Amino acid sequence: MNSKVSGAIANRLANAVLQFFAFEFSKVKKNQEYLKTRDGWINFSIGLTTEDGAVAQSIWFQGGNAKVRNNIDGVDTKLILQDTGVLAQLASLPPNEVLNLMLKNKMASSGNMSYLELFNLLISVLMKDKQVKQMHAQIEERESTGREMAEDPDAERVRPPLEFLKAEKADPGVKCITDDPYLSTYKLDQFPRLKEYLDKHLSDRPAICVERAVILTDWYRKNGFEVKYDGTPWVPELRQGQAFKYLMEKKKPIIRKGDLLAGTTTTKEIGVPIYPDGVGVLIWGELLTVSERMLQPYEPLEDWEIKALNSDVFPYWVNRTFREYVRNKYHEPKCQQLDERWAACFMWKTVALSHTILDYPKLLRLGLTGIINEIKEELAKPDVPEAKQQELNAMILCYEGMITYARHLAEQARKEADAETDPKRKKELEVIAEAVAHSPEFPARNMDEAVHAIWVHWIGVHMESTNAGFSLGRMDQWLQPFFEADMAKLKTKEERDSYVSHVLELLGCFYLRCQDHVPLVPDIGNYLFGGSSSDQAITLGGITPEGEDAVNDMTYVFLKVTEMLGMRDPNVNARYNPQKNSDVYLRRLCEVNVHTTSTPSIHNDEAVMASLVDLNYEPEDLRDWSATGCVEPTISGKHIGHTNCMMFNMVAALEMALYNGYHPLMRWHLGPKTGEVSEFRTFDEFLEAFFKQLECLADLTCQYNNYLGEAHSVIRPTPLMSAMVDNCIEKGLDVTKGGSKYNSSGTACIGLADIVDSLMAIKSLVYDRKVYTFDELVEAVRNNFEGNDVMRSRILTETPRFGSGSDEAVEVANRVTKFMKDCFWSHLNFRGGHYTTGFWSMSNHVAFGALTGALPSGRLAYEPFTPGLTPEANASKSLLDNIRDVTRLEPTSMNNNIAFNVKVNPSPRDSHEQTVEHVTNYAKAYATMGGMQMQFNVVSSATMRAAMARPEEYKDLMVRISGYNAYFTQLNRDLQLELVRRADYSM
Amino acid sequence: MHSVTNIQKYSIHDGDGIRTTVFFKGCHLRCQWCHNPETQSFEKELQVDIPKCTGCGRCAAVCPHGAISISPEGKSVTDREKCVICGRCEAACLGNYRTVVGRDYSINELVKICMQDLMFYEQSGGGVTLSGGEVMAMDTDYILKLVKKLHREGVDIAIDTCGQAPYSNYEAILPYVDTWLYDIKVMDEEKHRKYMGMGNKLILENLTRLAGSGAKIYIRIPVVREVNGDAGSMSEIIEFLKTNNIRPLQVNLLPYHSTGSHKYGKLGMEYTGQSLTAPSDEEMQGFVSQWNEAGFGNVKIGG
Repeated sequence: MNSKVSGAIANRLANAVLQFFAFEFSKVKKNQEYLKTRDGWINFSIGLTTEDGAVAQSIWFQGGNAKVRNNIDGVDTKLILQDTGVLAQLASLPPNEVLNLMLKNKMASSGNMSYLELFNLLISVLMKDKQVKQMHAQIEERESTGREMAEDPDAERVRPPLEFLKAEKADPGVKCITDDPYLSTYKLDQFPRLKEYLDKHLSDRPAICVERAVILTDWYRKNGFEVKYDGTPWVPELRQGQAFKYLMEKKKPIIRKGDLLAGTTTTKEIGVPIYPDGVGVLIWGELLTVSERMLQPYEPLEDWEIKALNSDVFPYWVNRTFREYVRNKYHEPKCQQLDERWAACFMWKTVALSHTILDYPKLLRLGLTGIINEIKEELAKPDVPEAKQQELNAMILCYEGMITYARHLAEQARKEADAETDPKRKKELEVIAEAVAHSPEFPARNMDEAVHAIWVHWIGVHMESTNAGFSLGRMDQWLQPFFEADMAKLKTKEERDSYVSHVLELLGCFYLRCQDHVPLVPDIGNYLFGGSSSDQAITLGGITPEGEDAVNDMTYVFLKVTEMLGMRDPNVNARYNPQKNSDVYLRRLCEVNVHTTSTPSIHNDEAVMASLVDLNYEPEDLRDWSATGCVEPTISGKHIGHTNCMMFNMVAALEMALYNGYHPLMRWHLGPKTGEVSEFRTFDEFLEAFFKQLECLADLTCQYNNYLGEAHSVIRPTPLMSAMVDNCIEKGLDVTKGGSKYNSSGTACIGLADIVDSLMAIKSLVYDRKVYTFDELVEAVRNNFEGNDVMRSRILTETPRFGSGSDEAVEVANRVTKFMKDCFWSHLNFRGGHYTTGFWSMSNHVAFGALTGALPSGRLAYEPFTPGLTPEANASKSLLDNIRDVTRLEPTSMNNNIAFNVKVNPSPRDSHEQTVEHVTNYAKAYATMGGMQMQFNVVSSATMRAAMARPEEYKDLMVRISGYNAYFTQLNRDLQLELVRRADYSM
Repeated sequence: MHSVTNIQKYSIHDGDGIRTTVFFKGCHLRCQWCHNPETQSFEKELQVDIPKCTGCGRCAAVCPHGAISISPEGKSVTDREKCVICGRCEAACLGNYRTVVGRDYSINELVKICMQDLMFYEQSGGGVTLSGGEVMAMDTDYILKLVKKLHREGVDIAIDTCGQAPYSNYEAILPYVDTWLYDIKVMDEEKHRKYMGMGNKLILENLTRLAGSGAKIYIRIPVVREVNGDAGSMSEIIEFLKTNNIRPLQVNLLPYHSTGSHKYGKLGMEYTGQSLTAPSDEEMQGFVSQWNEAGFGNVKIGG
């Protein structure tokens, strides 16, 4: 059916389809089952309409019955289609392409999103067979098009043996492994346990784990959420404290077979925990089909799990998510509508407020009991206000829950040790039992206890709130004292070598434990955020709070583990301080990048600290920064910086400036009327218009972020986390309410290079050289340059681009970043902190690119933007021009960091040593020139193409997207192609 | 004569560290495998990337000499007899598929470009490499001024040379040059004449004198199976160095590859090295051992 079909016919058709639905769910018993919840029948309504109103039909589910109405008045959720043409597509497309219609703004939704997901489930109840067939066809197509990508699809993967460099000791902090700081003789093959689990990690499909959601929902049903069973309102902090304690008491204590660490986040080998208060309900529609989808399929859910989620968990949370809280309280404000149109921003606060780093040194020093004592001391002070008492009591509840869970783990380990017949494993289980019985409950005394303390607490943190970007901080600094103390007790070289081996294996287990959970990705997420894990950043090196060289034994131990495992997560970030850190350390960072192809990312310590000047951190705190999530600086243990609160598409504002406030894809007069392009007399006038549009979008996104901040404080305060962040105990204030010593919210601004190149094209061709009128240029852009290949070619070859060494382009880039930073800085978040501004993009440069028309830069419609702030691939033939321009950006305008991607392709003629030397040279020059952050992909486009053809052989091929790492073969095709097309600098 | 075909930034196989390599146009040798045929002639030349040409005809329309036509296959055809290398078609081509090779730079222009990457040179122990073509066959005054100026700016300078130029040219710039990347191909004079188009007398003489002056020399040997890819040829070179007391700081054995062959078509030339082949990896390793055993420690495969 095309869009010419009359509205009346379409309206009748929509009615007929809904009637069919109504019949199936009123008369067919097995279908009706899906409408039954623990509280009785679920009642809701969905409306279907077109923008012109020609179609207006709704379906109402009520008391186990379904009826169709000829209007959409008062429905819970509306689907608004662009025109009648979209209606036909809805019926014929596979589910992921229906989502794509939503992203592409062919249809929009209004009203409760949970119901939309439930409706999707009902669709799959009726259409599952057809959907699965469509999904399988997509998988086959991906396989066959993948084969076309490679030059020789039949060529098997060749893995040359790895070589390892050696180094002399050069860092004062290296006290024990002085003979061979690079630990060059240790290989993964020596650790069969790690090898085996790594293989599972790469091969096994994750499975949805309902444990957390079911236990918590049980508790809330019994004890109430908004009000208690006696009708009095709950204090959210206390409610969360009690519920958390209950969860940890009920949580199954599991020691994964053969592991050196006790405890798991989920009951599955690799689990997907459900956080229904966040976006857990978004998987509702896929409960029957998630195992069949093309990208990141999960294990099929068992029937009881589907039933638990569908009839017990999800119905309870329909209105209790952060998003729906805002919708209900603020009547679906414009800022929320903007987010739900996908093209201008993505608000991570709908998912989590997790991005932070907890005070793990405190846990190691005090243990859980010590922390409880600290809280009790605060409670015992005179005149503690009631609200403070409530928060402190909530914290105690959480820590009591943690102690119970740790004891359960110790009991379980003991039980398994007793039953174990293999003496070697028995001994290991005894060590585990002893370690976890002591820590986290009490201060850690050795490495095994310290790692257990952090891991078990880490589980708790992920039970309290969403697994999105919680980061581990300066693990090398915090574990070094245990390493030194343990080593000091050992007498012979053999003992010490075997201890180093043990620590490598223990931390290897820790890395793999950190991957025992992955974030829930509804299929729409596969297109917005391909292949991301939860991004648990570890930060290495840099300087100590006192300003001394911080590189130590554990820095190299962590680098060895990172190198051996080559995993996407923990996301390892290295601080390199050009003034304090040695070349030996930098060379090792580069060697690990060469071996793993993409990790760790390298931060210039001095530049990052310089960028944070406006935040006024105390010097000792500033020097103790670590990266959170992707790359963003957070003050360890003292700071809620929600550094990834939003992904912000700057290019949407550029489009609005070109079209006088109108956004073409969203078909929305969203921004202020800043004028038709023909009216701008100078380039600066146009730039002002662009800035006004940016301001409009920033105002809206900050407003929504603040509403969501409030939602978090009501729906999910986090007392467990709060007790581990400075000042929350003294203030008796939850982190969600601003209890932390430092508060801020971090944005990620996307499309800088595309914007600068567009602005330069406008400036050069329209204003400076007057080759075209602005109208002519915009007309060509509107038509995606069709029939204007000459203009496009002139843009691409004659206008200065960011990354080409043009002073003017760098100057414009600095104007844009400064405006963006000042603009966000002027807003305060719900917790009273400023907004910071970053220029990295996760994978949204692809997602937002797909939702953006052609640009004056010559970029064609729907093509990806460049990742982070990386210059466009053809800006210059010389990587050095790219590097130099990026270093000329003003750090203080980028106080939420940047992501600068460099794809280098080692020459097969170079030795390993030469390759490492080349990479080191770039990194060193970049840092010396003041560049902030740099991340490598040491892999060629040809290898990526081969991986598309033979994904089975390349499961471990890791790539750096923008900030985070992912496995190449798991990415959506657009993202894969974006990586392939990045500038390939041969070395 | 000092026109430049290419300034290659971030060059890491032409000497130590990160370098900028300036390729000068013109060389007296005609090595059959030459990777940069556009640097052979001392004159400017037109280069056309025919496979990429879309046949749009914009070049033909602007050519004042009627030298360009569009073939029935939809490709531009250039009559090189008529072409005077005026460069108008270069400006007209939308995809930059037509380029005039060879551009004259003032000393200041060239120095400015080279200085852009100074920080990278300093961090990596790199600098500027003057190459070609044959840089030593260029206008001596120009080259002398250039190296003096770069030297004054503190830039490390390497000269990549085949040795076929008057020794006075070498002598003139000797004090300002940090490293000489000196090519040797084969000792047998007749073979040299066959594959390089000229004998090697001057080349060897120059090398001996240069070494005698105390210059820091890296010997670079393109290894081609048919020309010098055998133990005998290698030992002749080794003997020559030993006899003349030439002690290079590094020896680079550069296995033959045909990556430059596609350039010949663009220039309307024919590739002369089809019959040549590269030694195997094992053979290359064998040559490295042979050099090592002869007492040369620092021997690398590749640049």
